[in-house]
Amino acid sequence: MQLTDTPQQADFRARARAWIRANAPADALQTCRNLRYAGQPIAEDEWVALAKRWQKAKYDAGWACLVWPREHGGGGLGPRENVIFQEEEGAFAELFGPFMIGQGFLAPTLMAYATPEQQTHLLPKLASGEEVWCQLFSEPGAGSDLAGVRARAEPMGDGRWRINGQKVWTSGAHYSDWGLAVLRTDPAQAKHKGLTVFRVRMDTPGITTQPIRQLGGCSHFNAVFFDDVIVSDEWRVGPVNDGWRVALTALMNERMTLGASIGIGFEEIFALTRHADERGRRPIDRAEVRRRIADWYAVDRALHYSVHRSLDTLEAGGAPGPELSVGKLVGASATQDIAAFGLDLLADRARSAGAVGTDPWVMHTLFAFGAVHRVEGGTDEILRNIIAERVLRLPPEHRADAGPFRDIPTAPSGGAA
Amino acid sequence: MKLSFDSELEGLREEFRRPLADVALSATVEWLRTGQPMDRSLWSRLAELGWLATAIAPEQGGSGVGELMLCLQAEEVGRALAPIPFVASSGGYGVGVQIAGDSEARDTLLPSIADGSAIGVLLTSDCWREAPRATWSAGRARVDGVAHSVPDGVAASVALACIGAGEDTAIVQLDLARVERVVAAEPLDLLHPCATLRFDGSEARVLVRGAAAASTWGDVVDRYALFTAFEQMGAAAAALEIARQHALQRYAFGRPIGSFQGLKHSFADLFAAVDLARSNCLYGAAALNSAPAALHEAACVARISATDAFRRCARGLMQMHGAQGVTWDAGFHLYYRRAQALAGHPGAVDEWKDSLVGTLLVQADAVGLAG
Repeated sequence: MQLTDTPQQADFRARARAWIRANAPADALQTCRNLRYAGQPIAEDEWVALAKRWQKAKYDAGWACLVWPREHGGGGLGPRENVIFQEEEGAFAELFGPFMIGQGFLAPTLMAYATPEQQTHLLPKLASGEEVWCQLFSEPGAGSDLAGVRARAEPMGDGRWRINGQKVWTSGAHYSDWGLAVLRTDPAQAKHKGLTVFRVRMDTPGITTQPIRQLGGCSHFNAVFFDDVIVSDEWRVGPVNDGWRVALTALMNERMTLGASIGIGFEEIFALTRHADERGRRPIDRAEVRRRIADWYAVDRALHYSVHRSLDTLEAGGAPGPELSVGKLVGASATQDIAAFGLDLLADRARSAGAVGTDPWVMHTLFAFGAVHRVEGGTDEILRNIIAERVLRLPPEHRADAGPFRDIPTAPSGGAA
Repeated sequence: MKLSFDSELEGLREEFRRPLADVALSATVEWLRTGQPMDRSLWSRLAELGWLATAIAPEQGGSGVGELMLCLQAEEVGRALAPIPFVASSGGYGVGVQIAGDSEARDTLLPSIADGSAIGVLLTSDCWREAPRATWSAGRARVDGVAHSVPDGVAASVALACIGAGEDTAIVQLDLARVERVVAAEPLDLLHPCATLRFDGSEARVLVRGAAAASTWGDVVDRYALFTAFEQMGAAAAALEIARQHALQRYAFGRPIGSFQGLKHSFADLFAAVDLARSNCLYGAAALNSAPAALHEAACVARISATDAFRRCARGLMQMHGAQGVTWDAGFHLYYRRAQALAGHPGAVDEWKDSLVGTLLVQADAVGLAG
């Protein structure tokens, strides 16, 4: 029971702070603050370039991917040091954005399933930010029911595979060098069986990326089409038809990263309520506003401390499990509530976003992000199922998708009115 | 930051669970017939085993394990829904005397808390509709005022209160033996029945007097609030577990009701509420242990989220049981009642929210000035 750093942690923190002070792009500080909650204060290509520069600087100085083994370009340190570094990074940690999927979700998968040669080839470039990865998992018919993917990879008999089909909601596909795709390789097997994971270079002939505009107006995600894309068997990750297990590694890391890394918008709403209107009145001086602020602070802190609890579990040799789903489940809804509350307080000023970084702009950003965050990386409903079934051990859902995948219904059967 | 108890304390928690293991909900419902203000036989057993004295120093008859142990004990007392004034007496009054009293006061007042012969309560802000008045003469104080519906007020024999203002603020200890006591007819919380205490020139023992008394009192109340939050969190977790067991055993439409998504999703939300409360409680314990400056804010957030978790889980417990859930004999109303009662004491939860925001504003202003 200790709030303070151990002497070693304090020493690490001091070194991290000194290095960050000397090397972070100080002139971009405000921009980085506005990048929170998927805000878009600058054009996307500028943002990616800025992020790549910061990532490269960290990599060159040995501060990138601190929890990775050194031979993969990481720091060989523990998760505790990683959290300390992020705390010291502050707003600059927002520049993790383009690398979150690759470094956060996919790298652990590659470390578990790629060959040592592939790891040596791929991971350092991922760590340095030189190569960006995206996750080609969801499809129009396979979101929450992810194992229902239909995009096919068929063996060509010469050690190559032919890929056809469509992926969707692929964040960052348009600036990614690589994608990790879950593909169906045997529709005669059960749904979770006939899947295989491949990595694909995004500039392979036959891959088309089409941006999809999101409610906030930006296009972080895409539809990705595969038309007779030919790939070598060398790009396969993990055994043939055992891809579900490979994908689960990434999904587990996705929820851990998403749940742990993102705030709920507390600082933003607290700042808004402290700003006085033309007549000098501050929302925070009203009792009902104070109560909401206090409630959200309690949620914000609890989610933050939960991350440290899972670090304790890791350090005690345990594996933090599905209870980590709580972070995103609680946090995303809180963000949506905060945005609505802030926009209500802003009244007529909420009716347009206005200049970057102003209260209305920030609340518009949270308004969009809250809705997105409740869906991405596992919807609220899926997370509740996970908590109910895997933490509380309540019985699983009744299912209607046993038997060969190709026989599973995908629409109402014929004859319905 | 390390937010887990070390293995030695966790071992003591396991030992403390043993005497509490007999406190079944059905037995507690049965015990209500006795009309007693507390379970005296459990109390004596805990006293004999030294469990009422863990935070009291050996010089005053305690074992000196420390206040962190009180966090764990409060959680377990909450989990058992034990009808004993443990948190009030050991966590409120006992710790209060420890912090506010000098060595003579501790020597005089704590042995009877350690051996369970005295039962103490804290007369926190929620008990006073009007501030109590103090009359001073020759360094001694007499107290006038009415403490309304004091939780565990029927069982209590001694109390701490903060009286006066400014330089005349004082933390005083009151013997309740000769104080007029009106027992509430239909208490909300049947396990901690309340009484109204009328102080009429009651002689008080002064523990601290002067401007420092107010901040010391704040510190005492913060600790009591943190222990209460642990009790709330433990009770919330227990309510969730009872409901979960029922949902696994009870069949409807040919299936365990826990297999219906409507219930599963409610369960997930209850789990989330308990988990948030647990995180904030553990942070509070770490603040108690290593960062006194962070204690007030930590107590506020622990109290806020533990109040929320207990309320939700107590409601969920009844709801998951259907009509059985709202019967007297099932006893789930005892959770529901306790959850509501604890939302109002120590200090109404809205007071904690207001105080938290006040603290955050001071911090924000300090950052603003520094920047």
